[in-house]
Amino acid sequence: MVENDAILYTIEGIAAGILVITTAYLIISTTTIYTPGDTHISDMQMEQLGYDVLAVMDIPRTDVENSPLETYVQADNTTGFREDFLRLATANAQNWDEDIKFNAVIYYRKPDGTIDYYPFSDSGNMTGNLTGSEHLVKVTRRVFVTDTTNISPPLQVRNQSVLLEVLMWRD
Amino acid sequence: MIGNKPVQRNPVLSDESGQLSLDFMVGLSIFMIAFIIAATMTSGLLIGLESRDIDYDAVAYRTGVILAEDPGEIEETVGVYPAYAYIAPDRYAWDLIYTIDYWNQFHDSNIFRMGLMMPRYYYDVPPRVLMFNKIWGKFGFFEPENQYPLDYYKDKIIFSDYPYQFNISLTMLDGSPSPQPVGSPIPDTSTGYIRRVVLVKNSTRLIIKNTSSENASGVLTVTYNYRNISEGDPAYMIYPSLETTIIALNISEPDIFLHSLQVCSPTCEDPEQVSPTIWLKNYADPGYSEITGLGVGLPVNNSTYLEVEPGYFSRRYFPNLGPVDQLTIRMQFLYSNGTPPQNLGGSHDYYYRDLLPNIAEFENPPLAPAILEVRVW
Repeated sequence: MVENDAILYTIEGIAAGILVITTAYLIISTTTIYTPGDTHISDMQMEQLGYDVLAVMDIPRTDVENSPLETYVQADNTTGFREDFLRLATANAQNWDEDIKFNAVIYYRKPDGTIDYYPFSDSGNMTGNLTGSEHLVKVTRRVFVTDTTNISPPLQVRNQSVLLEVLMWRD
Repeated sequence: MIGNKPVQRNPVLSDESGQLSLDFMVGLSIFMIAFIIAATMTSGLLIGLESRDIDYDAVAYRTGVILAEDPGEIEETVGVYPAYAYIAPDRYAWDLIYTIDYWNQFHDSNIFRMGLMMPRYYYDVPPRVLMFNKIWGKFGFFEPENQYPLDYYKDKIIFSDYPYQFNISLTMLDGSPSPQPVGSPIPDTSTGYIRRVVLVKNSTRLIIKNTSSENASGVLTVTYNYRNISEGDPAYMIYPSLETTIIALNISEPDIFLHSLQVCSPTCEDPEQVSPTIWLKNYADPGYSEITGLGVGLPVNNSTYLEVEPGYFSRRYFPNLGPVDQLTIRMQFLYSNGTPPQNLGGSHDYYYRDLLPNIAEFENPPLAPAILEVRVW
């Protein structure tokens, strides 16, 4: 004969079990643990590398010339900048193939005081090949420009400092 | 009428056999299962908190900064005022400790850090410009004959009690030869890594093109005027006391020997018989090198050059004898029979611009890009 007396105890047990499991899950799932999959170290290495490359490109090689970076910006030489940047960023002792891509824009000040930018250089073959989820690192450097005749958006004719911003990522 | 009383049924103790009821057991077992699942989840809390791999990258980054952005530091004097002695030209010249008197005794205790950068005496010197002598010099960082044991490097650039292994390499990008890497061979496991981009400042050179001069009697002088030299741009300046200087003698007359070489300030002295000193070397014969103070006639031809080691000027003239305005290297050439050649000689300045372009040419090589890689494991 089936009794109805103890069903409430069983339901109590199931409810208690569900409660304990749910609570434990909520507590455990709010803990964040750093595993090696985290990207903050590789980001730091990439940012240091990009900052080094721009700084070294901005040091004149002799005392009678402009730095290579100033020369590239003033002559609007996008291929020269691209080759120099990629060479300095990817060279290594083991000759591993480092696939670093970048996109560089220059911010300048317009006569009315607002800031505008123009695209300067990139690592080539960008159109249609970007997924939109590249993991980017941004490095910047101010470049001192004295001769603006060759630069295509009309910069003011004066000595000025423009901001070169380079976004880098590994493909 | 007294009939049968109905039996009171106790819900828990349905019979007196002493067993727990079935629904109590089911409830208890459901609770125990849930508790075991929850307890198993907590054991995952401590995964991944061992962080030695992150530590390798941090140590590699710190060593990269010390090498690429720090000129190094030594305690350049020993003894107590006023009786102290200089063991090196200044507090950044750890590669130029005077070897004759002080190297064996003081190098380990007085060198604090070995950095490769050029010291920023003037803030116009940009960071990341490394000195050639700190890389390649006799006591340079990458000296292939391994003047320094591996433990020495750990004290001077790694700074850790934990026994890290390391590998540091410098790769020149302008085609010039790269030094051998320092440290243990790179393993197959993952290592901490940092890559820095730097520039290397090479030695300057004076090329004497025309050695004929009327009635010079074989006397050739090269003057280092320190006031004039200090007018240069600091990042590209000549530092005679800290860098090698090279004087290329273009002596095309046959049968000429270097009879004597003296350094005058204005009192003259012969160079030392041991390093640091002034060497006579030959471009056509890289293995040839003779110390000029040997006292015997050394043959010269059109590919002979003098190499003045940086420690020589600093040891002899700075600062023990006080500051001097200029130094002159005075060379006397003779034929093999002892007579002086009449029309060989002249006086030149070790200076930036070609004052007389057909007579002498000054070469200040451009800064050379290089890649510095540090691996730690």
